[in-house]
Amino acid sequence: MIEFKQINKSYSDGLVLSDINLTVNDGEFITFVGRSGVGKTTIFRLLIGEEKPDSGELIVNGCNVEKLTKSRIPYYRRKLGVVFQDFKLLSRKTVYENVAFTLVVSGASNKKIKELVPQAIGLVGLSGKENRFPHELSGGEQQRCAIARAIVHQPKILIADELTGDLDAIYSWEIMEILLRINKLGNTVLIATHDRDIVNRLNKRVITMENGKVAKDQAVGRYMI
Amino acid sequence: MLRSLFRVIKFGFMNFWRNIWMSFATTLIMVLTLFSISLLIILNLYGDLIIENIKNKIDVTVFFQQDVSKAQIDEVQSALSNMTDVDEVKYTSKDEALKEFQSKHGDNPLILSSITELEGNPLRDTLVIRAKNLDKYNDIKIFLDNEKYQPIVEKFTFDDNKEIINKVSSTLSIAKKIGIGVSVIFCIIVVLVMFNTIRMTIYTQKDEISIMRLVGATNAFIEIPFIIEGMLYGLFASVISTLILYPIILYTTPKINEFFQLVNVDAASVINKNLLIIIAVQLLLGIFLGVVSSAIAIRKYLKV
Ligand SMILES: Nc1ncnc2c1ncn2[C@@H]1O[C@H](COP(=O)(O)OP(=O)(O)OP(=O)(O)O)[C@@H](O)[C@H]1O
Ligand SMILES: [Mg+2]
Repeated sequence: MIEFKQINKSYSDGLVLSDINLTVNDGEFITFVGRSGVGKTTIFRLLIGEEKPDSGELIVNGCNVEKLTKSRIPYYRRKLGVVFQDFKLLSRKTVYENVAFTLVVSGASNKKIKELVPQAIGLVGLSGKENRFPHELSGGEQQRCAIARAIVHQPKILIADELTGDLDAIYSWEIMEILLRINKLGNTVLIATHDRDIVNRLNKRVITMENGKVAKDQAVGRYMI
Repeated sequence: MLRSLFRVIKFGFMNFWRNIWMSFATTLIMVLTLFSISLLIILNLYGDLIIENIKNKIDVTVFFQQDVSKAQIDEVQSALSNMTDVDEVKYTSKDEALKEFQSKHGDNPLILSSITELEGNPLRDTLVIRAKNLDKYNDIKIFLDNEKYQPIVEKFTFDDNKEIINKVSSTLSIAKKIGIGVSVIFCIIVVLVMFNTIRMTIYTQKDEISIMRLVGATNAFIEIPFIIEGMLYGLFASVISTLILYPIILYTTPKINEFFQLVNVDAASVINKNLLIIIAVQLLLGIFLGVVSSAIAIRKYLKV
């Protein structure tokens, strides 16, 4: 369970999030929508402990994220899977190495790596492209690779920021289907998107943000901006 | 834990190989540093050896008058032996001295014939006195200057090597000071260069490092490869430096023996006895300098 309690967050040039209260139950699929710059990415940054809220509490599975010390944060992050808005793939590593990286860093055994990495690559449909470097992949394939890296360690919570940016409709939906499959396995999925069709087709909970606040929180939401 | 350690070491090696040219230049400077420090150690060893050797050669020789009896000499000998400053008093009779002289110059008929032309033994009974300590020769001199001995002592000679010793040791101490200065400067240069190299590695891996953080790498996991990289410079440099140093030692030790006419001591054996220490000093110092410069770079550019 994820709980935002009276979260306020400002950067040097002003308040971005004010008074955010949200509860996300295990196994939910939530879509954040809102104009560019409204603070969707900021919410995710708080969730992974990259930024700290100015005030308020953020509790993830009983753990107070804003109180985590620097030395605890790595261990906390290993429980999450994150697909970043800009993918953040390692350009000098192959698809396989990129996906394995999460496991390597967290000290998984070679046996476990050999077992989990092909699974994750298969799940996102990149089998056969393990030895390519990121620049040898299309934008959509890079995104799949980023998803594979985010899910390879089987996190209970998957966060995907702005997944379907500039992909065609069919391709975008294929990506969404991957996330839905992960959600079906019982994992919590949080995404942010600007894609109206996707939101309307998902029929999942939608949180609409405006002016740094939660404007609407609908159990089966539609894209309305 | 062990697995992570292994991975971290591998990353360190990768950092090293990835920009091999820069690593090469950095290693070279480290080699120069370690080499100059080894030379300093060797200079010290040689210096002690040479001074010790000169000290061994110092003595006072007392020449007695022709007609002095053995009893009188014995008396002087025991008086000298009783002095606390005297280490050894050695008696050589004129007959022994003659025999020795003849055998020494046995192959030179001119000298031999000039000796036999003289009537009787031209040589004198002698006492050779060795002091315990360089500063004590003066006391012995004063002792022998006593009027009591004037009738029996023809003369005594004192090889005053003190001046030579002073000259050698002051030259050595200047050389040591220069050596220490050069070594310290090299150490500073090597830390600066290594710091810069590691900083560059950190810089080129900025993205990688931030991604490592985001997928849950601990600080130790991120930092240790750079420490390993620093250690590798020290390791390789000390190996290279030793490989250069060893032939130089092999070549110079006989020359040192010869040039300074070392007796009882042998430059090669002294160096060999200390070779392990020299290698260990290089290795430890190299690794230490590597770790220190990495640690500074990490502190400056990796702390979040
Ligand atoms: N590191 C930062 N320093 C200062 N301001 C920031 C920083 N990061 C984000 N902001 C500002 O905070 C606001 C919210 O940014 P955020 O990235 O959360 O928006 P977003 O909803 O994800 O937008 P988009 O849909 O374009 O991705 C923006 O006005 C942005 O300029
Ligand atoms: Mg964003």
